[in-house]
Amino acid sequence: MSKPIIDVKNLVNRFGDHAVHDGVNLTIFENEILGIVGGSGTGKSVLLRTMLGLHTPTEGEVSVFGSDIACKQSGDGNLSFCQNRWGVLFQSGALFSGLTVLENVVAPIIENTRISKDFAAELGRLKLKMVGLSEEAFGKFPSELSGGMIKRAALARALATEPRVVFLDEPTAGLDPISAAEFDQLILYLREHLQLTVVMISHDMDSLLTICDRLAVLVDKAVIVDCKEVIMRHPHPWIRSYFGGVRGRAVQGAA
Amino acid sequence: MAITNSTDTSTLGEPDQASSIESEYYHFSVGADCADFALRGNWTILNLAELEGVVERLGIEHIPVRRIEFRCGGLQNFDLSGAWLLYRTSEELRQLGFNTHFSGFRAEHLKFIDDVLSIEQKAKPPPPPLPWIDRTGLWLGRKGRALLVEARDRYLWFVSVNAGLVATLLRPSRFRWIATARHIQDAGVSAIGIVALMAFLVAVVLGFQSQTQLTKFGAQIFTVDLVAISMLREMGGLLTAILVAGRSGSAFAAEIGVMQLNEEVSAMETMGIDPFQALVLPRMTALLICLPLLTFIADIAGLVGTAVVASGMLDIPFNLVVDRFLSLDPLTHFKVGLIKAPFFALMIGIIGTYRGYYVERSADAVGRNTTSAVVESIFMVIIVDAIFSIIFTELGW
Repeated sequence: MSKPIIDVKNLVNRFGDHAVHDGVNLTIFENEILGIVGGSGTGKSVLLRTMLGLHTPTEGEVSVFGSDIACKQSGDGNLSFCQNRWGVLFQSGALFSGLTVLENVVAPIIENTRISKDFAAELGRLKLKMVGLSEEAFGKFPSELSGGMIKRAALARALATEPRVVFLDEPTAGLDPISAAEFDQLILYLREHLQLTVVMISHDMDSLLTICDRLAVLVDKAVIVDCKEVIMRHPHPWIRSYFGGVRGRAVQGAA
Repeated sequence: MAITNSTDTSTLGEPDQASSIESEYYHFSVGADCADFALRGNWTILNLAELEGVVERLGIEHIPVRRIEFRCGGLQNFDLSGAWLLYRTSEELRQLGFNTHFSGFRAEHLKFIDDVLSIEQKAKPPPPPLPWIDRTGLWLGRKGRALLVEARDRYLWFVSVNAGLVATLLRPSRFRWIATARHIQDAGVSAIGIVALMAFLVAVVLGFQSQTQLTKFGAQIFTVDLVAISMLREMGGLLTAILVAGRSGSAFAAEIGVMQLNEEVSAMETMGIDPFQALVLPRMTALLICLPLLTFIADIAGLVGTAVVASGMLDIPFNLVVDRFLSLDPLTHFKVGLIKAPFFALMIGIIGTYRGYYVERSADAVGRNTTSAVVESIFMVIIVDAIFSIIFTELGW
């Protein structure tokens, strides 16, 4: 295996009396695509937010690029170190509504580097073309875009500062199957060319089975993680019903 | 940057001299028939600021040879942005008439940039900008159209509000008491404290200001007349309306605007719930009930303020203040102030809900509409107040 990038150890997250995570262990390796799966309310988003430092866990350690980000005593140094090296695609895109598409992509470049505005705009155009958006969309505002274009623009913004890791929260949710398949191919293409590590939350069986190398399933407040062939034959009842349902079988049969 | 010349000449431009420039990111040397651009270190986005404009900084255009060899083997970290800068540098040099060659380049980045370029070539060139006269015409047309659309929206809004009102009057059981009560709580009850405090303070301030002027004429006692009458007739109602426009007019616009963003309003319509009955009428009714009551509270607080400033600070005996006040025919002034309150309420309610209902689908627009709800409703409150002043003057009240 290549070297680990993210390491989650004995993570516990409690909201009041309700424990969402109780002893989650997860290691994410360089250049892999890891899919996070779980029923509603099993804390997929909380896990993602914890890895991003947006949520402070009740107990446990999260280290990204070898530095502990959950540890608040160390100040924000580690977190800002990470913030240049990861990109996040939020579920609804989270594009800044007051900025055009191009400005959205240029904003993180301007904020994090001393690159001149003109060259930053050129890099922004490059990233937008890379995700398959055409010139006409660059000057538009997020409210004028379709769902698929929003996802692509948000992905371009996530990739703006050349991150090593991208986190995708339901990247294909709300897309039609054709756009979703294109988006999957885009992720594979980018992984190959940019040596990205991809962590994605998804319910889209097609994308999970086509592009993920390993799957992490959140069940019983912990994580079961293995390569997808093993996970699909896992005896756990929830996993069996998840992959054994009508929809799951149809996809597996086709694959 | 350290410049080391292999001979004593100090510029790169001198012919027949081999020279080189070194930095953290490259080693540039000019040989007899070929210049060598050996890249090293990290060509990543975080370092690109130091690599921009490298062609001018090195003065490459003056070198004697026409062939430049980029040696990329020494690169440690290299990302797409770095590759793009390298590509651009090479293009720039080609345009200056150089031949550029690469060696040791990571193939995937080259392919990547080829992909991007092929997309670029397929794209249509942007249309040329229009002459200014056309642009002005277009701008005027768009503005005019926007004005017409807004006028139509306002008219439709007025019609719908009235239709909703009639429908509710025909079937009073449809009226939403609970929602109305909630809005009375939000717009009325929770505003009592601030309204009372404001009216009290304004009365005190007015009292002090008029007292200094009136003492010059030895007419201190008229402070009571001035403050009490202006509080009852104008200040109480007007200030309350402005405060409510700021508190509740903005809240109406923002609440309904966000509901539009979430498609809650559309959801209501598909269920056969009339948004005018569900959203607008309870708010308007609540304001119609609350604003007169708040004005009443402001009047009382203003009178208390008058009494405090007159008897407490200007040393006019309290019973004299009361006598003076009762001789002013206070009921008429009170009526004049209070009659206006429902009309203010109508203005605030109708503008606030209108601004919320006709909102574009963006967070920006909600903010803009909330601002204009407040500005417009305050403006309309003052206009209505002016109209009433004229009417009351004509009536001799």
